Amino acid sequence: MSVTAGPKIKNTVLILLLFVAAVCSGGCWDRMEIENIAFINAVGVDQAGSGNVLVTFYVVNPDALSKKGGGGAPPAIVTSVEAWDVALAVARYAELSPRLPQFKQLQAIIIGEDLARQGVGPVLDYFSRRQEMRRSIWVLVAKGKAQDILVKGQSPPEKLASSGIRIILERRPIHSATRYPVVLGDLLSDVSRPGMEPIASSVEISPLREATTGGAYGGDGGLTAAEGSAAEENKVIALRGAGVFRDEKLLDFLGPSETRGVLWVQGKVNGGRVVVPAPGQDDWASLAIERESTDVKPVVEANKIRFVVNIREEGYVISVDNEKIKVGNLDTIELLEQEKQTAIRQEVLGAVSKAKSLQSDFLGLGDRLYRKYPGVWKQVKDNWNTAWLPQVEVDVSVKCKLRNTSATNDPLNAGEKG
Amino acid sequence: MSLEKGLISTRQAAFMITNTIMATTVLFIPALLARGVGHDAWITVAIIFILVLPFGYAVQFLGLRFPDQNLVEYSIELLGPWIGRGVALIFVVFFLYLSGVVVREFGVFLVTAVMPSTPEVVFNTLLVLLAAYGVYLGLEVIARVTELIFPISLAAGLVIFLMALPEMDFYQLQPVMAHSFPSILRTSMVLLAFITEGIVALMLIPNMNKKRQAALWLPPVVSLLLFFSLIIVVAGAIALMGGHETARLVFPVYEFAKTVHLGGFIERIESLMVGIWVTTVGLKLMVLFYGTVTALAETCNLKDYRPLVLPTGVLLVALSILIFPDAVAIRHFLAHTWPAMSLTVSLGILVLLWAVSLVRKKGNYRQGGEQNERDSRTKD
Repeated sequence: MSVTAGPKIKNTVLILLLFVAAVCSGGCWDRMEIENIAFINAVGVDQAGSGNVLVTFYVVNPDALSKKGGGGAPPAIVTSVEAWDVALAVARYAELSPRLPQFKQLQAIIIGEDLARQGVGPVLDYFSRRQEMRRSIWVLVAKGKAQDILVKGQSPPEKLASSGIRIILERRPIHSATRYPVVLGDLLSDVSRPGMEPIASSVEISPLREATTGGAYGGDGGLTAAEGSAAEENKVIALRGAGVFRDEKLLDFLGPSETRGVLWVQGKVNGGRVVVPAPGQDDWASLAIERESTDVKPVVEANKIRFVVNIREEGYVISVDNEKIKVGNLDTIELLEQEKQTAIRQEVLGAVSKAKSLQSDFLGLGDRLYRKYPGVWKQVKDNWNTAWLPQVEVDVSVKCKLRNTSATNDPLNAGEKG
Repeated sequence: MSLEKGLISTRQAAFMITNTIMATTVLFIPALLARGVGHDAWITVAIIFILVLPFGYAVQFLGLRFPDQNLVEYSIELLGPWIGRGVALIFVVFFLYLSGVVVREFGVFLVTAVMPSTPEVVFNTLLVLLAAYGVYLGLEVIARVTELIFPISLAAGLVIFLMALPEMDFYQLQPVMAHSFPSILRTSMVLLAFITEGIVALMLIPNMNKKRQAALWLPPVVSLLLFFSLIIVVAGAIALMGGHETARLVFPVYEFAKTVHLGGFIERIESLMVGIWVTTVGLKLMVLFYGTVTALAETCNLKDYRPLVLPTGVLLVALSILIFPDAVAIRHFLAHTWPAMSLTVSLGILVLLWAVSLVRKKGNYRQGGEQNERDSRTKD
């Protein structure tokens, strides 16, 4: 039988189609005109009084970003609302905003220090439940208040601080690998991952002009303002270091060097600089990190758990102090490699001792143990952070390879003039 | 064979059956399996595919014993006019209920993931109208559309997976077998219940143009297609998010598409995923809908199934809304009720029909094959 329909059937179908068309022409329920949307590009959540949260919305002002017009209008409108939770804060904000608040363009969630110490669970639940959220949104922990960062922070030459944050976190850290970029999805996974505690890049603001790097990666390493800095209002957003958690509560912040120590253990350092020997000593050389790979092996012995961390790194010479360091010599290269190995080892051990003292396994050592020896993990998991982690031994061995000395061989030689 | 004269090729049949099983499975099964056995979910997929091949052959060779008859006709022949019709009615209700569940799943996904303010009944109605139109046009049309759409959907799904690959960490699949084997086996029944939906093939077999070839090749082809798709989906979801997160999410696979972030410009491709979902579920519903109305028409000795299409469609929309109070109930149903229901009906009746046909020595697959095909054509 062929399937050609008779005229009666055709009419029925036609009428049905008309009916469908009539239903649809009423408009979709989820229709949104782009002119009527307030694109929230970044959001900050802080602790406020009496159990409330203070939510700061960083909303793009499209008029100011357009090529023509705009004039002196600010590129973003920053509004803070206090409410019981994030959902209610959005509701309160919607009362103030003529445009419908939308998270579709959200780049970053910044969580204030006080709130993070109380626990980020309720906030993350809101952001993981909304259908317009993506797991690729960056999550940052503010040193201080998230509100300050969004209100005062700038990221020149980007017009939007949120774009600046995104661009910095997305690119490969060629010069500096001292932050710990984490997206919402990874943070959520880390919270529930056995033997792993969450860790997220920290964000702070420092005065825009005369910002100088204090010390190298050894010290606290924060940006410190030179004396007489007048630029009080214009502050630059700086991403360095990381906040570490236990379960969903912030414990402490890691310095840039400790953060890179964590990255070494996880095999995620793909750029950065190392100064050897430690700054302050007489002769030094600055060495670049190009790429690395890390292998962490758990070793279970009688009543003892040990981790063997093997790091293989490749890099090159980027700058040396003086003529005493004859980069052209094979011996010198070997010496520099050894010094670099020691420096990297120190960084890793720094991170390990921090994890031990904080009793939080943000290095993911327990995770390695769980994957390799699930039976052992079952026995130790209940008091892993408190009893076992402070006891574990971590053997770090680093193999460095300096591939080249950049464009120059020996350094400038002032001593042998004439 | 009395109701539907259209013939479908083996390839079309393979795509139709695979799509019927896969369309809803890929979206719901990773979370259901991960809720049971965490990151060991992918092992259940491997276990199930040892069982799928015998199941597939049992279905195909039962069909081959009665090459010109569909499920309802030989139920009547084997079990007599009353019990046979009773068994056929169980199938009708089973397919109808399953269709209702599929329509509801479709609506729930679009509402939670894409358009939260739109009433679910709108999506359900539109999908049922589309499927009703397909069923009205007949089996050959459904088969041809499937032949066209299914490979494209499969390729698009694979591309999405490959683009999400950089974000995945397959280390998270370790340690293997962290959960006890009984619990893995119990969880795998949830997946098996989805796979046995393929029993709808019994309604298609009389219309296949090369029945012997189909009987030999369909089970391995379908199970391999399913195996690779499901292992990719389940292992991928766990590698991307870990066992706990996969279980926590309602639609973990949708996160594949939302995660894709390549070179700073390939992102926000989740609409592609929605497109795949809409087309494949539409085709799945067509096959189930077709199975329902042809089985019903055959049971009632109607000359044509087409008058039943619209009433059944109306019933389906109503059923899809009434069947579950909320989205939580769907998940609960799929994890706890559906395995018992699907396995009882599909495996139970399969075993019953096989047993009776062997005992009463009715039907013989040796007479199937090429010769019978010629006969069946001349009979037309």
